[in-house]
Amino acid sequence: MQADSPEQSSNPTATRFSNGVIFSGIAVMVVVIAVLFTGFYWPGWMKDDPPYEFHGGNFTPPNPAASIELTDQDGNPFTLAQQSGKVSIIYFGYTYCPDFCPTTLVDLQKVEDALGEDADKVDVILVTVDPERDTPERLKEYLAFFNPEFIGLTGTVEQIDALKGPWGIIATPQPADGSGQYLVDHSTALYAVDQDGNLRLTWAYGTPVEHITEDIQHILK
Amino acid sequence: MTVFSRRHLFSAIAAAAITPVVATAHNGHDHGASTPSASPQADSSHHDHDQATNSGTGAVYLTITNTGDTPDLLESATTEAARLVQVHSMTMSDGVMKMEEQAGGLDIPAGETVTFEPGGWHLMLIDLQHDLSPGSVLDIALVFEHAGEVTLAVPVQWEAPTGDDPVVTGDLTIEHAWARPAPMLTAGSGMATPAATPTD
Repeated sequence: MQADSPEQSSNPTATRFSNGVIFSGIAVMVVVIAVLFTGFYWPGWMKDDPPYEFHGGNFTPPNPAASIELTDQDGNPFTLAQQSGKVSIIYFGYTYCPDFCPTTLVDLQKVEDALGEDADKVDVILVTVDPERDTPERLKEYLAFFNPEFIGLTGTVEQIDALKGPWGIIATPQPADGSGQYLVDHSTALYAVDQDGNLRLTWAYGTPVEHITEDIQHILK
Repeated sequence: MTVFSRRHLFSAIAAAAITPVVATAHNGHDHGASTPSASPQADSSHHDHDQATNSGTGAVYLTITNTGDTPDLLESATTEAARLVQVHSMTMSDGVMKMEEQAGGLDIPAGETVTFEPGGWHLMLIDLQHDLSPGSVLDIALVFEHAGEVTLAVPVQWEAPTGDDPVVTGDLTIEHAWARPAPMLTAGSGMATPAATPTD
């Protein structure tokens, strides 16, 4: 629709006519815009949540997690592939660790508690970075103190070393003290592997329990 | 949340999330006594291996407030619940968490509060002599340069206490002491055993 503006017209009648056309045009445009909004945008707001922003570091796009083939605390073979259908929260630590590891495990127990019924769909896995001391028996004794359902994994030194590169883990034993005990420098991040075996998230040490829980709940959706 | 490549993420994790800790030696026959000044190099020559039968570790957290005008020094700590107690510090430097024994004791500056908490400063209990069971209490003796020795009854529980009676000794006020439950770990303990031999 083409309407002359009042300024371009010398005819008062034409001006009034043009005004009518302009008002009609505006009305139509308003309706069209409203329809567009209603048709394409409004339902979008109603149906979809805003994009979820993970608290943890988000691997994009998700890729299959590096395989883990070790021995669990009952002496049984374990592969990460057998976790299919579950979310796995993986921590690399060790039982002689006085502070970071137990603090993390206590936090992960709180995550499990917060997940309620969904906790059945989530496993906590402690992979030792100290295979020389952490036998399956020792892992079993240790994890029983936190949650016997937690999975503890160990293997040979070579098996554990082979995980470091693919998982980006640093773990370096310190010199032993007079009684042969030693501490291990190690990465403290957590990793989440989803139901399809993809590495999805990592959380730095100290990430609040609520944040980990929310992220897990989103992965479970 | 920033999206980053796996390689960059791993680099970031490597930089930010490593917790170097310094293994420190002890006087192997000095049961229960802590001599925080010993260094691994100095003591490793002794080779007086204890063959400790238990090798679980624990941590005690608390706050120490120096209300006086002179600095004090936490020289050592002992408990019958562990073979050895060490003061461990945690410092953050360039994103790297560094944990190490506080050799020579820990300064308690005048007018300041030193807080021991999970992920930070802690008293590390080495080679637990029994389980630290929830609901139990462990006695730990702290020796200060000026305030002298004070014995605390530390509750073993999963969370930091919200309210407790302060212990006052000299210019020091000690509060919120707690120990996290921990097993003494008898399995696969003591000296580093040969590499685990998994069934597969």
